Amino acid sequence: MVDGVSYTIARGRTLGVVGESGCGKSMTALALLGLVPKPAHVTGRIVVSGQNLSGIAAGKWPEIRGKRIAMVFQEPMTALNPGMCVGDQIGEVLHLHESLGWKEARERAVEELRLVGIPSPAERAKSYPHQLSGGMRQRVVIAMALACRPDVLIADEPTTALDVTIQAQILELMQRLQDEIGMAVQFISHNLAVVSEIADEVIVMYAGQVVERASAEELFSKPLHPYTQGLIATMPMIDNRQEQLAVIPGVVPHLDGNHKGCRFAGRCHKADSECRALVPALITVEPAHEVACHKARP
Amino acid sequence: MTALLSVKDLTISFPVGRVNLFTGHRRAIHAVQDVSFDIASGETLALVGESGCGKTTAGRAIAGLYKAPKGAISFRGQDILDLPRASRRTVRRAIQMIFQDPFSSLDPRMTVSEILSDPLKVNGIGNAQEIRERVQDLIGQVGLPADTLNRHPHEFSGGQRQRIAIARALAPEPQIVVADEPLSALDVSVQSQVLNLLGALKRQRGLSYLFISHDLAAVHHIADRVAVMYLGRLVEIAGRDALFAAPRHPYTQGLLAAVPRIGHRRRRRSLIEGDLPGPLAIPSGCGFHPRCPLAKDICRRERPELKSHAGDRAHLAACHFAGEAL
Repeated sequence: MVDGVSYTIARGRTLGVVGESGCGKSMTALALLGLVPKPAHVTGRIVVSGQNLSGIAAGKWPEIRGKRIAMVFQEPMTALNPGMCVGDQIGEVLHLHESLGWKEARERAVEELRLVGIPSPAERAKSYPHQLSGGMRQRVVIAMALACRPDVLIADEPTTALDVTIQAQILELMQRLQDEIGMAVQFISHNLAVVSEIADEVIVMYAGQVVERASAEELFSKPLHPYTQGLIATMPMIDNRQEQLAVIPGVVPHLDGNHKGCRFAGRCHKADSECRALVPALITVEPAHEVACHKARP
Repeated sequence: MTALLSVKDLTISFPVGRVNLFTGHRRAIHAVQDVSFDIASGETLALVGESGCGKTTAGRAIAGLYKAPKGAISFRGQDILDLPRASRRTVRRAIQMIFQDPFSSLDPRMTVSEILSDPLKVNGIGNAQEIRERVQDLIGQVGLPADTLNRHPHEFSGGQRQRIAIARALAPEPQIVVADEPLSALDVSVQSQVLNLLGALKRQRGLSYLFISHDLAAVHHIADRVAVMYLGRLVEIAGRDALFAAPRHPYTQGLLAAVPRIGHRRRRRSLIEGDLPGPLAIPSGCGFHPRCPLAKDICRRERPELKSHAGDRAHLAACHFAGEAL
């Protein structure tokens, strides 16, 4: 499902991961947390701050998850326990990972709620998730993820379920916290505009593979892969209204083991016999700009 | 242009909680309050706002899905809330609806052909032969192959299902289509296809749309005029270009500033603080005042009227300070 994906994120930087549903964005993130569902298996290496996490024993993962690598999910209502007040949920993370006593953990939880901009955090800590709005819930999920100051934060569509004014608040919060805490962020979204605003570097995934990688500025001003170009052209833009929007014909293919050639060839207007026969490698075409396309070579 | 559809002081309330023992009344949530607008023939009016603002409720009321809302909805000058049963159906034919989620709006046990012929049979349009031809014509118009007709909804992707839902809405030859978030369940690359299809159908058939959406980029693409709702009331209505270039209400200004755009890195985007208040605790005066950066005393006391402020007579805003820069 995900095939040969490689990337690095520096401390304090944000990597945007974009692509349509089913392209492998979320599965890649789950691999980082050792959460890939059976019977799938993971090969390759995952290295965080010099420590190789690939192939570690299943029993060791709980020490990594939540402490070194944390995750924020799309739907805050399902990410939170409905039967537990939010202060205790954050306290539990600190109790487990930092061996704080429950009293101390609850006090720290209030501090964490203050950090994510929740007003009157001491009272809110006693609230249950259903008593909070969607935006407040997502702040709680972020507070929980960041409680142990992880090295890496994975945010999987963190603002997709939120209204646009709340989305703006959450994006600003994430940037402020990144400046303060300095974690690396992997920001997964199908919303190109959100990614263009928040990411330093972007990878575009298609059918389980990385097809393009560049700085956010470069990727959105000079996209080289026909898929990336297509994704950008299909978006209605307030700054530049077009009577007719571009379309990418067809759908993401269901891949079996013996697929030949470029996975995008079936939907690509530039595809020829070379594309259908040979898999394009991800190669550097310009400094810090990589693309996997036979037709994008200089 | 004369109005094809005219909505006047539309108010929709839902009773909540128990009957009060002393008064015999129940409390009510006003989901939509005193909303008025017109839609001209061939025009697209977009209704925008955050979740819970009442835009979907207003759209459903116009499509006839609620009993007896207050106010008036007239189609070609005829009040459609106050019609005898017999003539209701003929008017209702003219207003059809497309729903947000094409996975729940199509009956999984019906074939596409049955889904499309149902509205024709219900309205008594044509005999069996005519219905068959009409259905084949419809499926072609939304860009699906004819063999689609014998298949069931589960065999299709989200975008294809939404095309089927559009074909169903078009079957009784409506003049107005209420499209409630028709894109939000679809993948990005499919959204543009559906937007293009809606645009093409409008041009070919002279359709009017009430396009309900929270996606302001899509609204900018498709709408001729835009109405902004907040806590059940209209706070601003204007032509598309006027609204996007010079929004007068601070809520509209905040909404537009919050829209993510390609190439605007790390700018200040949240002008609006806090959350939407609950529907049972609507603030006094201007409903937006607790979140408004411009709010003064008068905003807490008096509700501003929706009116035109300067120059553009078609640009209405409900703000005591409409036109002041945020």
